[in-house]
Amino acid sequence: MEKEVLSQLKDVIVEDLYVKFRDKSILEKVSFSLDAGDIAILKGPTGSGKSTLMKTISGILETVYTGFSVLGKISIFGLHPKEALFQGSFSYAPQDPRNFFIGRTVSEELKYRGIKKCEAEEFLEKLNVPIKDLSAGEKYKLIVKISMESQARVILLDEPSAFIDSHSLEFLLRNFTEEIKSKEKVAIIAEHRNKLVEPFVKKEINLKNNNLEERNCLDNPLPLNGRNDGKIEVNGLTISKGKKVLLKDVSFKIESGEMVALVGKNGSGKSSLLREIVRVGMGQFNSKVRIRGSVFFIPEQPLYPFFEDIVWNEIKMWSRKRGIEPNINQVIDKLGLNGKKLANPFSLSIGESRCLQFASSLVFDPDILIIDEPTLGLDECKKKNMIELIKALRNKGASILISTHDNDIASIADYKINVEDAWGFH
Amino acid sequence: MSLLEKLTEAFMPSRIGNISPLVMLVFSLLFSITIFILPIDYVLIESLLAILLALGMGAPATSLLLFSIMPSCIFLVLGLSTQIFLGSISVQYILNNFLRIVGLTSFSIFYARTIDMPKMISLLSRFSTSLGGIAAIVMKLIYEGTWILSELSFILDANSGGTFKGLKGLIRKTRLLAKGVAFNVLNDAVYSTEAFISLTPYALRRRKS
Repeated sequence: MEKEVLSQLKDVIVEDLYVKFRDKSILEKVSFSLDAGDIAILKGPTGSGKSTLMKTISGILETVYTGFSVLGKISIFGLHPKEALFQGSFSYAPQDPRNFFIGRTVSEELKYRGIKKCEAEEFLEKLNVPIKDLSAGEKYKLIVKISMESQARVILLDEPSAFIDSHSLEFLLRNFTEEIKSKEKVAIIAEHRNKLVEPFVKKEINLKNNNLEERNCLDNPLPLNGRNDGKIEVNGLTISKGKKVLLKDVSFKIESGEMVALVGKNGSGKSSLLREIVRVGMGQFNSKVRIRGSVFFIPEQPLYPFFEDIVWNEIKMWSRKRGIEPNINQVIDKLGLNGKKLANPFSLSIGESRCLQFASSLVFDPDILIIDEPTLGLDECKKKNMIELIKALRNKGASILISTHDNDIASIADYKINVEDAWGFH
Repeated sequence: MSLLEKLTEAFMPSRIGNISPLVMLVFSLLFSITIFILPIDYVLIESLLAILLALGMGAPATSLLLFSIMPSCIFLVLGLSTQIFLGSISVQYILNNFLRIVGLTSFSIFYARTIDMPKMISLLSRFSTSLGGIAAIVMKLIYEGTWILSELSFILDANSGGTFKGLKGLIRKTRLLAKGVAFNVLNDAVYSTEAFISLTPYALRRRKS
């Protein structure tokens, strides 16, 4: 009785929640409660069901999907999740902010969401800018603006740090925290980069992994046979986006067995630089770039760059490319994808998707590995595993070039280059 | 009752088995003509037309297959037979239709298992004025589809190791691209719908007031 009275005082209540997809348990016995003004961080390893929990409490899971069974109590300001959803009580920002927007331009989006231009003063200069041209930080600022101006009382952010540099994220979260408190809303942020978000949150929701076996992060790295021999040499390259020059006189060299990490703010030109080098690897001529050896490129987006309908086939496809027959089981095991061998790659979480892309690169065994945001969506354990594997590849002679916002992986590079400081065009 | 509601009501999945063969034939023919006359660059738009048609009818995946893929298969066989008879087989023709068939088949296989399409469309139809929103999502998907196609093509070329050479390589690349684009577009459709339904009711009420 006392528990019942107490729970009525809370605005968001989740008690003994169980979620299953057909026979497979995804969430077990999840309980938490939040008051208006609270911001909670949702923690858990990659694939532990963080996104599923968000979609369950917002009623999206039961409304859009079939095959899921939900048991337990969920109360959103006294309403059932589906009821609350239809009243417009939720704003859900998916892992890829690209998917949040319906309109083509900022102006269209505001109009579509029923927000007057005068209510979004900070976007007045960008009204005619296509959404695709906004940086990740700007996209999230717009999501937050739309959510705050709406009557949504529960704001759900699914891994905002995945695409935002730490400086922009800190700025964003500072404003976000103030607005949540002043407007008496509730926010849940699913996140792996806990250190960045924790200073702004009041509560923690922890999920354990029910399905995937926990990997020992300190296992020996994958034994890779043979030697790789890659080299990248860039001399006086200029990177532009349309008419705008982003980087000027870019010059660096990566020898066999070396790793370089490019760091810098969103929109500074890191990804464009990587792509220019990849194009030369594809056979396009550029007098400013020279490379030696086979290239494997993992882009930041699309998040699911897959071509086969089973994880196993996707990895096998890349191993065939160079006529190599590696032990695919071993690669799958090393990257913690054992339970997902026969899954559709598009059913993976973003972190698992990144592991699959990395597994593909391992079986390809390239001389040059180029990765845009290698640790996207990875939990600490998977991140450590990936770092060990990258080190192993480097030790056998591969040249590695990455672009990242994550200091943990940047710190293992032989050279860390801040592109704005080094070649920024002011 | 909105147009979409009427459509959903008229062709609810429970009735799909009772649709008159004439209606099915008309839709199949209309779709076949569309799919046959458009050039290859419009394959994505064609695929979306198929999805919309099937969604508008509240059709399950099997009907989607029936309406979109069967006519294409029939035309492929008929076209091939004619061209063999005339002694002028065009590789481009085979590729065009191959891409269509593989792309459209891929659409339904995975998503039919997890997404309750009739439920989704009936949900969207609750918001009578949100037809514009649905159209916006479709336009967005066409736009995103083009972007995804170019990105996946870039990834395949970048990591190909020179394996997509010759006719065999081209066919393989086409097959892979068709599958990749189809899956990605549907993935985006689902995520966009999630974001769309979370704030739309409020936006509509606010606009009305």
